[in-house]
Amino acid sequence: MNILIAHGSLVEFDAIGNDMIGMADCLGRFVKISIFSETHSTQARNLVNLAEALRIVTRTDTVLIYHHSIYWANGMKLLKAARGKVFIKYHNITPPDFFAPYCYRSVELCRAGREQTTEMLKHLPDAKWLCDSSYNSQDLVGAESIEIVPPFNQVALWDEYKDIGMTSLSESELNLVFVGRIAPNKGQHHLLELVRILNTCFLGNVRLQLVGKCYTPLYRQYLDILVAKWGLEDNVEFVDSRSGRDLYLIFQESDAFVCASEHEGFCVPLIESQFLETPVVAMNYTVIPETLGENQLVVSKGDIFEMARAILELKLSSELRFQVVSSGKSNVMKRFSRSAVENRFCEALQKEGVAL
Amino acid sequence: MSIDLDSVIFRIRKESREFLATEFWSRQISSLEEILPPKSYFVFDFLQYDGQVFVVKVYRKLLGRYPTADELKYYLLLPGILETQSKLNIIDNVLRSPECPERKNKINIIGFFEFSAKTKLLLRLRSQCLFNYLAQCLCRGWISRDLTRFVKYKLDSQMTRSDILFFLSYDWVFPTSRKQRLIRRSIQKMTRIGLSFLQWPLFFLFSAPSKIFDVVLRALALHQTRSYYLLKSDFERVLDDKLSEIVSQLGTMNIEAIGPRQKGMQPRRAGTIVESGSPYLPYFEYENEFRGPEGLIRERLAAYLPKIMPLYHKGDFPMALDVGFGRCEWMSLLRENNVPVVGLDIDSDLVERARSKGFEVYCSDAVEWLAGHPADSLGLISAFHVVEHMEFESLKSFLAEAYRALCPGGVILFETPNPENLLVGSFEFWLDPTHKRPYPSQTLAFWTKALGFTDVEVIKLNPYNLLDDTGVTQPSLRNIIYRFNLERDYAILAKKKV
Repeated sequence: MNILIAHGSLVEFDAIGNDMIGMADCLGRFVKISIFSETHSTQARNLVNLAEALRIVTRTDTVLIYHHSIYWANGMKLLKAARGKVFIKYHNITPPDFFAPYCYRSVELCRAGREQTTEMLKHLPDAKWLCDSSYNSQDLVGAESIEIVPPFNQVALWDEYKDIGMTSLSESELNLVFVGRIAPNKGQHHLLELVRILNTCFLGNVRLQLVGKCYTPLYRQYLDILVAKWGLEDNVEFVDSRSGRDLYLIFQESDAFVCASEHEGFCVPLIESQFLETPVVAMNYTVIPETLGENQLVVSKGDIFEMARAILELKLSSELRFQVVSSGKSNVMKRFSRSAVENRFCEALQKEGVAL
Repeated sequence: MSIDLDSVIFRIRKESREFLATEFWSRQISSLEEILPPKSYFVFDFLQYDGQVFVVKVYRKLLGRYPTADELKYYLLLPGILETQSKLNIIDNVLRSPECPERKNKINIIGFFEFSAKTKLLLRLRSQCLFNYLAQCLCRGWISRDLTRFVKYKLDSQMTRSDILFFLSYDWVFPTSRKQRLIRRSIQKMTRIGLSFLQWPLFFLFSAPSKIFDVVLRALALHQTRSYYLLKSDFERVLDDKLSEIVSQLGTMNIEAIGPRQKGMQPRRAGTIVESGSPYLPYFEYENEFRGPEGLIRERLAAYLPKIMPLYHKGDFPMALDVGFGRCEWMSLLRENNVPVVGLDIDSDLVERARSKGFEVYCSDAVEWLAGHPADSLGLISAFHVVEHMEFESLKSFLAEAYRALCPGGVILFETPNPENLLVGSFEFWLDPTHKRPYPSQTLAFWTKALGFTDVEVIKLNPYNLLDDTGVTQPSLRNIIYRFNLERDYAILAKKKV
C-alpha cells in the first residue's frame, strides 16, 4: 500500500505544511509515503513530481490524502485520477469578500477554491472528509463521511528553548503579540485600534508585535496608514519572520496573545500560545472558542472595548492569569498533543478500512 | 482558589458597555473607515454581531461615528434586537437617516463578484424594445443564480426563509435603483398584455409579425417574472404576519394613540425616540374650525392652477403628489382638471375619508414614501400648510427627497403661513398646537435654491387687510398698519433643473 499526501504548496512552519509533515512522520512508520506539492520551501523526504504523483495515484492500492485550503488546478486532476481511497483534509477557505477591497487575485482564488469544494462534494461522493474542527465541517453540506481530526502541530518543538527561562513582565508596560500572516481576515486593524485604546491606560507604553508574512500588500499599506494616523509608530512592530528562538522570546515577554481574527479554520498560533503559557484574549469569531477550549477569555465579536477591558483585568489579576494559562495548557496537552492527534488521525483512517 | 471565569467575562462585558456609554470614546476615536477607500458592505458584515456591538458597527461603518448614548439606548430597548429582522430594520433606519446620504454605495448585497459582470452590463446597456426584453429575460436567470449563490455562501444558517423574504423587501437589496426600476417597469408592462386564451389565435392571425415577436418576448419575460411575483406575494404575507404580531404585542395599548396624529412628517432619524402615548388629536375637526370652510380653501387654491396646468397641457407629464392633503381640496381640483394625483397624509382618519371620495392616497410619512419611490417619477409635489409642521432637519430631507423624486422640469409647490404678517406670525400661527416653527419666505426660498431647485418664485396671497389706512399720513404708523395687512400665506414654487 502507498500513501500520497498532496497540497499545492509545502511551507515549513506553516500550519498545513506542519500537518503534512506530521502525517508523513506518523504514517511513515507503517507504509510508504510520497508527498506531492508544486512549490515547496522545505526539503521533505519523499517529494515526487506531478507525473510520478499521477502514476502513483492511479494504482488501486494508493490512498490519497489531499489537503484542501485554496484553489489548486492540478489538485483536481489528482483527485479525478485517483483509483484508490481518497481522504480530503479540509482546512477551510477564507470567504473571498475579506479580500475584496485589497486583492482581486485572492478574491478569485478563494472563490474558485470554494467552488472546488462544491465540485468535490458533488463529483467525489466516495471521498472521506477530514476536518480540522467541527466548525469546518459545517461547510461540507452533503458529505457522507466527516471526521474531525485536528492538524498535526509542532508545539512540542518549543520545548528545546525552555532552558532560556521566563522573562519577567513589567507592570508599567503592556506587551501584546499576534502571530498570523498580514491579511484582512486576520483582523490586525482591530488590534491597532486596541493599542490605541490601551495606550491611554499605559501612558503610551503598549507594544504590539504582529508576527507574520505579508501576502496582501494593500492591506499592509492600510495598516501603515492607520499606524501613522494614530501615531502608533513606537507601539506597533511588524515582525516579518523570525527564528524559533526569537518567537519563543516574543511569546515569553508578552502579557497576552491577542486575536481579533475574523475567520479561521483552526488557528494554530492559539494553541502555540497556550503551550507557551501566554494567556490568550480572543474575539468570538468562527472556530476560535472551539480551538481555545474551556475557561478562556473569549470576548464578543468586534468589541474592542471589551477586549481592552479583558486585557486590563488580566494584567491586574495574577490569579486570573494563572487560571487562564493553566486551563489553556491542559487544553493543548489533552486535545492537541502529538499522541492525541496521532490517535485521532489513525482512528479516522482505520475506520475507513486503511490497514496500519 | 479558582475564579469563576464566566462571571469575570460578564463583569468585563458590563463595564465595557458602561464605558462606551460615557460617550468619551465617541469623541476620541475616529472611525477606521475615514481612511479606507470607499467600500460597500455586505449586510452580513453586520448581522454576525449582536446587541450593542451590532449597533456600534452599523453606526461606525455607515455613518462614520459612534452612536450617542441616547441612540444606543433606543436601539437596545427595541424588542427582538437579536433577531435578524430587527437588525435589518435598524440598518434600514440608519441608511435612511439624513446623515447617510450615499446609501446606494454603502450597502451592496449582491456585490462585486457575486453580481456578475454580464448582468451589470446588460442593465446598463438598455436600449429600446427587443434588446430590452431580451435583457430582462436573461437578467432574471442571472439574478436568481446570483441570489442562490449568495444564499449559499453568505447565509449559512443565520437567516430563515422568512428572513430572506423580509430582507428582499428593502429597496437597498438590489444594488442599483436602475435595476429596481427595470423590474418595476417590466411588471407594469407585463400586466398590460393580459390577452385572454381566446384572443391569442386572433392576435396571431391579424397582427404584424414584428408585433407577434414583441408580444412573445414579453410573454417570455412574464414567465421569468412569475417567480418574482410569487416571492413578492410571499413576503407581503410575511409582512402581514409581522404586523399582526406587532399589534398583538401592543396588547392593551391604545393603538390610535401610537401613530403621531399630527400632520408633521418627522423622518425617522437614526435613533430618534418616538414619543408614544400622546392623546388623540382630532385634526379633521381642528381644520374645520380654524383652517376655514372647504369651499373657501378650494377657491384660494384654485389660484395656483394657472401656474400648474401648463405643465400638464403638454400631455404625458408624470403624476402629481399632494402631501398632507387634509380635506382633499387641492386633489379634487387636480382631478377635475384631469391631472393624475396621489395623496399622502399621516392621519389615518383623513386617509379613510379621502379613500371614500375615490382618491388614491396613502397613510405614510412623506420622506419615507418619497425615499421608496423611484427618482424622476413625479411631476408635481404640493404641500399646503405642511412645512411648518416640520423641524428644519426634516424639512431639508423632505426637500432633498422631493428633488430626487421629481422629474426634470417637475415642480414643488409649498404653501405656508406668512410670518411677515404680525398677527399671523405672533398669534395665528400658534393656534395650531402641532406647528413646529414658522418659516419666513426668504428662508424657505434660500434653502429651496440651495438644494438644487431653480426658478424659485415666492407667491404671496390672501391679503389680510385688517386695518384701514386711508387717512393715515404718518409713515411709521402706515408701516405698522402695512405689517398687519400683509398676505396671510405665501407659497414657494420651484422647478427641478431640466
